[in-house]
Amino acid sequence: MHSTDSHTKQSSVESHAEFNPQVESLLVRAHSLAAFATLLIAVCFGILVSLQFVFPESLGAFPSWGRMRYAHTQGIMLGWLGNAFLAFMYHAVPVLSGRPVTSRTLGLCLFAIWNFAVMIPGWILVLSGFSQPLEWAEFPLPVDVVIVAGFILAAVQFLPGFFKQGFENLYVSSWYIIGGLVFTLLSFPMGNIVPELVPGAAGAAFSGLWIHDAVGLFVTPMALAILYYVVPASTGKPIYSHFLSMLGFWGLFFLYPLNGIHHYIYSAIPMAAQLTAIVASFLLGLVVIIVVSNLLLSQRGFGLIPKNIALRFASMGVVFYLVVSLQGSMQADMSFSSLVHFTDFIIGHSHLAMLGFATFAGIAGIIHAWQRLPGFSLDAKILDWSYYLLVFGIWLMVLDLTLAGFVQGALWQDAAPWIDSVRASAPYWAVRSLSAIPVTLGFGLLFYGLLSSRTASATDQAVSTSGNEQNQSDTTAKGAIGSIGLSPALRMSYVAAFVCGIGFFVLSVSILGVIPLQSLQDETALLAPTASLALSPAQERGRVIYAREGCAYCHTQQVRYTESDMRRFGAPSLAWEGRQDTPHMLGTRRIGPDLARASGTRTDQWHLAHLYAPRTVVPLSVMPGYPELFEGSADRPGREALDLLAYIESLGRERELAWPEGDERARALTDDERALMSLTAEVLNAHPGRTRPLGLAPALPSGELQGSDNSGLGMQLFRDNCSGCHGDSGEGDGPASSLLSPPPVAFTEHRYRRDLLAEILWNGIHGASMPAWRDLPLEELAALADVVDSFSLVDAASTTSTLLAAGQSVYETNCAECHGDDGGGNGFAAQNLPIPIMPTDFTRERLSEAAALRALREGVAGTSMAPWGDRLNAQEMTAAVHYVRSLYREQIGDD
Amino acid sequence: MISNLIVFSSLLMAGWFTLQYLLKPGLRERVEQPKFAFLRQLSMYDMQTGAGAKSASEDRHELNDDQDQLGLQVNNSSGETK
Repeated sequence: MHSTDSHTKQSSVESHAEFNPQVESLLVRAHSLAAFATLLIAVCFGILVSLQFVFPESLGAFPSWGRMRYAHTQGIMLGWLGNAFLAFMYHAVPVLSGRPVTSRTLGLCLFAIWNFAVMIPGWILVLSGFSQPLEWAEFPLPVDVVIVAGFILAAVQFLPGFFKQGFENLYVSSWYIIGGLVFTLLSFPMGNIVPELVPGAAGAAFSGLWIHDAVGLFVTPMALAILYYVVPASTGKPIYSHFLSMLGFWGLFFLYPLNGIHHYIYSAIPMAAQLTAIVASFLLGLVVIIVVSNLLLSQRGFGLIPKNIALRFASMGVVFYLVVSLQGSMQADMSFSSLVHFTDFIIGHSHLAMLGFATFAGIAGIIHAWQRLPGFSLDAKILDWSYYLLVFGIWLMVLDLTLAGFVQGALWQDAAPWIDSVRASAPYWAVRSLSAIPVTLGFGLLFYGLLSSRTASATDQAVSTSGNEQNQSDTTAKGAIGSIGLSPALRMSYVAAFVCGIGFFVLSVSILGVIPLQSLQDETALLAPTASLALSPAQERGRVIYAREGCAYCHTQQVRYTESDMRRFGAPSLAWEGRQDTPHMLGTRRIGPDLARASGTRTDQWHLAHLYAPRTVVPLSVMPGYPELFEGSADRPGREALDLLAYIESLGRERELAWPEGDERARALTDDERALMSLTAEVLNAHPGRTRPLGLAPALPSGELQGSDNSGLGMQLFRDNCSGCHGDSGEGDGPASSLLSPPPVAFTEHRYRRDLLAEILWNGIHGASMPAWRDLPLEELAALADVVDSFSLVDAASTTSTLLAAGQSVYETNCAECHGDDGGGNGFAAQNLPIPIMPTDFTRERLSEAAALRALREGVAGTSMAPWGDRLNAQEMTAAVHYVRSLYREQIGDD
Repeated sequence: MISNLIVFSSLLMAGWFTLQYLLKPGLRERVEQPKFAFLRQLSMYDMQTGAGAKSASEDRHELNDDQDQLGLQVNNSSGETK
């Protein structure tokens, strides 16, 4: 501890320090206006993205959904917040450091680089299909290089003044600015480049670090720098406690980097890394409570809605910060994560962080700086209106998405059909889109407020200032910095803490990135099949298309170690399954189902119809169509459609082919609890819904489907899941019917025995487009079976013994080799048909006379049933039809 | 293991800093100094440029009795610690 004498002496020396806070007004204005311009563009992308969920057919004229999604998030983070933070720093850094920024020319270069070499090319590139499928890192690598250059220039521009001032004198906002710039420079390359080099779950670990560092080490420090600046500047009072603010600062920089893996809880990433992230997330919640308490105590006496508009935005920013941070800690809890992860809860959370907390802080900073520009005054009414519109819109959006997340999570955990979660989400998605109205109006008003704020008298001043840099600008003031004598011990402790902070960052990358990488590589070497099934060139091209169109943003590729995931998608993903995925496609959101085991769950034609016009096969789907991959129709796929199809069909195939033959060997090799859990899961290898050839299909648990008395439920299920192919009335004339071969069955012309119907619903028809519906509960399958039964207009066979005798003769000569001697669809040739669709089992399926005659005469497209019209005469065909119709047995065991 | 080390070393550092802060009034004053200095720099900036006058006048409508203490605190911050 220093004596008062030495302290006074030091203060005396410092009192002569020059206070020269020359603010570059031009750069404040330029970055503020660029911020709002990019914000409105990014919001427009967001609105279009959200409208896809409400009007899925209406966005054909725009770039694909995934590309706009990339443009939306990068626009918000780099365009809006990047420019807003730069605008604020051009005002705040000279005041905080008492010195001007390094150079106006450098500032103009930085402005040009940030907006004309990052934002505009970045947007053009992602909209043109050049991107990275990595959350918060979607701009392609060449743009990333320019962004790093931008951050280096920003560090050169803003940091020297602080270093000259001395660490011990730094106010907390200065610390946050230094920390934000230094740590972003460290974490940005790690998050944007390493996942391009490291495959699968290990790459996801690095990606997860960046997802959190983007928010925690770039956005949050800058936003907190603004809040700690604007609050005392607006109240005229010092903050409640500088000590608490520094505690929060170090807590944030120590703990935030350790949070990243909490985006991949229950994944293949080693559990030790997951637990580290979970613990750090809880601790971070405590740090946030300290920061928020300090900020709220600093505003005592100014009410919930302060008159000062900058303070008002800052206050609401603090509230947003508290809520979003507590949400973050909660989401790291494993049981809560298993409920809300991949749902809209997360989307609400990210909007609360970026559009709530960070945006309100950014607006507060811009308003504060703008109010101090010479000759510029803002219209209070405009700002008032924008505040209330934004508060209303953002809370509406966040509450709506939070509720949607709970609903989706509950339905997934209840094993409800996937499409139920889409239908249940529809009203929430509509409200989310509507909430964009007040939000956009609010931002528009703010932008208008800035544009219209220039006064006549100010114009001359501004021109004069911008025209002559050497001329002391109107915002320059000179004076002495208040003397602050602080001990070298404190200075050293701050330096040590800063070095520790960087050490913690390196440690976080080691613990949550490098060590998991090593561990995952070891696990892969141990458990992976010895023969690797590399992607073919077509599959590789398809993967690029999948990444380009943002498919991973709606379809995850990771089956988590949770009961609901395993029941729905199969055994949990092992590390080696992603060994060829660079960059990884694990994903963080499920609008549609997980695709880690997509292979074999649908036919090629189904996929092509789905890609071309999704609602033809899934009426309630909100997926965008990709007709640009086709040559005019779904049955004319272009090369890109075929490549994408090849990639989808490759997903999960290696695991399926490697196991269960290898599961015993793998079990013997590992004692890892979670790997064993995957290897001993009830449903191994493939998607539980995969259709399989006869004999390999799993049996229906209860043997057969009982009758159901819930016809309303059955009809709804039919409309939601079946009508796209089979038509609303079961006549086989749904919108997808013309795209599928064999065509969907017209139920009006068929009657199925109950056990066959149950088998088909449970297992699908292997080789045809009829998928397995094992994700429907048995009660619902029973209701669906009742509906199919009710469509049938097929009557009992009325015939003569003469016809039957003639028909039997024709049948035995021409049909029995495939359909079997007894008509059971099990003839000796059935197992070796060129198309693996089993012949009709006439004992359990009766066709109408007309349908049977048509099939006999013309054959059945897409099956091995050939046309017999040129080989049998009319009498023979009629006799054969009468015979096969007579084979039908209403009950098992009927003769 | 490593995560425990990190967590406990972080808590230890924070605890040590808090203890020092509570036990040593001199350190307390030094740690708190920047907030007063910052306010003074703001005032100097606003006064000498005339910028923010409108905003500042708005604020003053809202200031309560705490504001009176502010003057004392700001004055104190100009080198003469309490």
